[in-house]
Amino acid sequence: MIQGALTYRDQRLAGFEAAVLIEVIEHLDADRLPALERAVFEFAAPQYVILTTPNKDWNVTFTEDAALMRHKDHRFEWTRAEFTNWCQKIQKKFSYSFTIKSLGEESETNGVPSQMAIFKKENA
Amino acid sequence: MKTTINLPELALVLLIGPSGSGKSTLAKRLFKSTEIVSSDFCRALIADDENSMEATSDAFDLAHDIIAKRLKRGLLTVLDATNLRPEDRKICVDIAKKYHVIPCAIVLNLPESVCQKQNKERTDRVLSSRVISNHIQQLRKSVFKLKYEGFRHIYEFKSIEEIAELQEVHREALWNNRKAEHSPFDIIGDIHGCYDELCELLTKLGYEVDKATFTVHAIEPSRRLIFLGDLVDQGPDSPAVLKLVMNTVESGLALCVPGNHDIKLMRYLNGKNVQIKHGLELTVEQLANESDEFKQKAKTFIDKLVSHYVFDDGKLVVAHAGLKEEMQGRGSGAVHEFCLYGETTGEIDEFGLPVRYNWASEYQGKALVVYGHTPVPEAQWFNNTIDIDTGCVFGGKLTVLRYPERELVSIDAQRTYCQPARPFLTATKVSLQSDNDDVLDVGDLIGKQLVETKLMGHVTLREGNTITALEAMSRFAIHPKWLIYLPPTMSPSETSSVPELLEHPQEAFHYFKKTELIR
Repeated sequence: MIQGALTYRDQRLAGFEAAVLIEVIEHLDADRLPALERAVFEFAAPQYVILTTPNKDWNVTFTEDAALMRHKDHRFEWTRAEFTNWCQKIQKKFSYSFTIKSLGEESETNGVPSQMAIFKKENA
Repeated sequence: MKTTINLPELALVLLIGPSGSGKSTLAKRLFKSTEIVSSDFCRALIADDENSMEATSDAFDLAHDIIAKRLKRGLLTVLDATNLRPEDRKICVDIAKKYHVIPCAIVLNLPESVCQKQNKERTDRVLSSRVISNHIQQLRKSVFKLKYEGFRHIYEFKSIEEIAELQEVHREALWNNRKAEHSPFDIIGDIHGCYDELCELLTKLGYEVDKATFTVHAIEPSRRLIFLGDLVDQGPDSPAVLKLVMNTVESGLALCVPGNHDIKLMRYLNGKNVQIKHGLELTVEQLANESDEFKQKAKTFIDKLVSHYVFDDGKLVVAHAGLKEEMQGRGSGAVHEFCLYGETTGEIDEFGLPVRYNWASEYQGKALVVYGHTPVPEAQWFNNTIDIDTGCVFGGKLTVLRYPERELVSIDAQRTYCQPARPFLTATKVSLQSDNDDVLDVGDLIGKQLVETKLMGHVTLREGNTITALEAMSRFAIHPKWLIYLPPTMSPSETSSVPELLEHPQEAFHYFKKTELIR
């Protein structure tokens, strides 16, 4: 186990086959997200990145307060559209392809509690 | 009679000879005691007995570690051991290579009778005569192999008299070592045969240029020109550029480092089998009208160019494709390669060209590195390095960096002489430095850290403190790039486009907008 932060380039994390970021990104301020993107997809650059983040669309199933988040340290929660947008940006910027998968029980119109993207390095 | 041998100022010197050949005595006479790493002494350090053969393996590990540390720090080092087996010597040559240091050998190849006699007279230890005989045999087998093992200077002594006469080592400064030169410089990026632009630029800088005779006179006597290589190929008049550069180097007004295109031209002129493309075909065509004498001179000129130079007490380094800190002032094949081609990632980009690795993004050296090779739309300051190849031949401009003023002067290309294989006129958002400031390396923030401060000397940050700091800063602080100083209330704005006004807030707001700063 090592201590680090994904907002910094870290030589120790380079060269792995896969990386997993389970419910991590929403704990970063939005303006620090580009640093994580580069640290993960440009410098650590594993063959696969598995990443999950809450689906904001699903929040209506337990609250009417649109501003409420699921944890007091969450800096943002993304709708399905926002997440897809971000994944497309990563694909373009760092040459990773991606597929999005659902996590949890699906509600009729609001999707699932959490959304997952599996990124695969192109030409890998 | 007294003899002297020449060794590079930074070298790994292996004494090679049988036990009883007088290696330690010679070493003490020629080198500082701290420069000598002796296998016997290493044995003593770890076993309290310098004859302990059982400690040999550990003793050599220690010797190799000491050698590596010294070479890393740029200190000449002598290994006083028999060094008779090729596999043992290889370990040392590999260490030398790793630190880009020149391996040298001093061989004591005395008649067996002499070694046997000296062995018997020893007071510290006497080996059996069979051991000495074995040593002698191993040495005989080794002597011819040394130059193929990578030793660049090999000195062999065959009698006690010859050894006694050897009184002094003359330490030669490496060719790239110009640390004692401080004069102001005008450093010029890749010219690629753009003779008109070169003359125009020199004139603009105040030099007196005679375009027809390819000669230049300085107005300011101490100021010198430095050419960063890639004088030839792709452009309209490579021979003329060569002539001017050769003349100025010959007269002492200029210095020049080689670029990859120059070296390829030299290989072509030497009759080597090189592909005549990437602009070399133009140079070949232009050279057809030149005399054999000129071609011969050009070949010799390029051949003698030194891969890079270190000036101004080590504060300035120039090389065609740049140079990492650990290679500066060193002289190995790897250093030469780096100076010509830089570093590549091993991948090929969409234009079929090797992907260049930007070594400058990790540069933390104290020396300013001025280089070219990679065309950029504007000269680019980046981590105390600057790329001044502004792609004149591709229709960009020819740029000079004036040192120590750090002032940039350039001349626009008269036209596009050559289409680049990879488009280069794509502007970055603000600057490469600004882009890179987003990237902080965790290695600078974890574990025990030393911070140099102006007022308080070194401040030690203990590991426990950096652990908590990293946690707190990563989770709760604003973007670190806004933390290093209090931002000015207003951006230094560009000159206003509004007539009669020198400055207007509009430009300042525009700058912030460009950096995506919204509040």
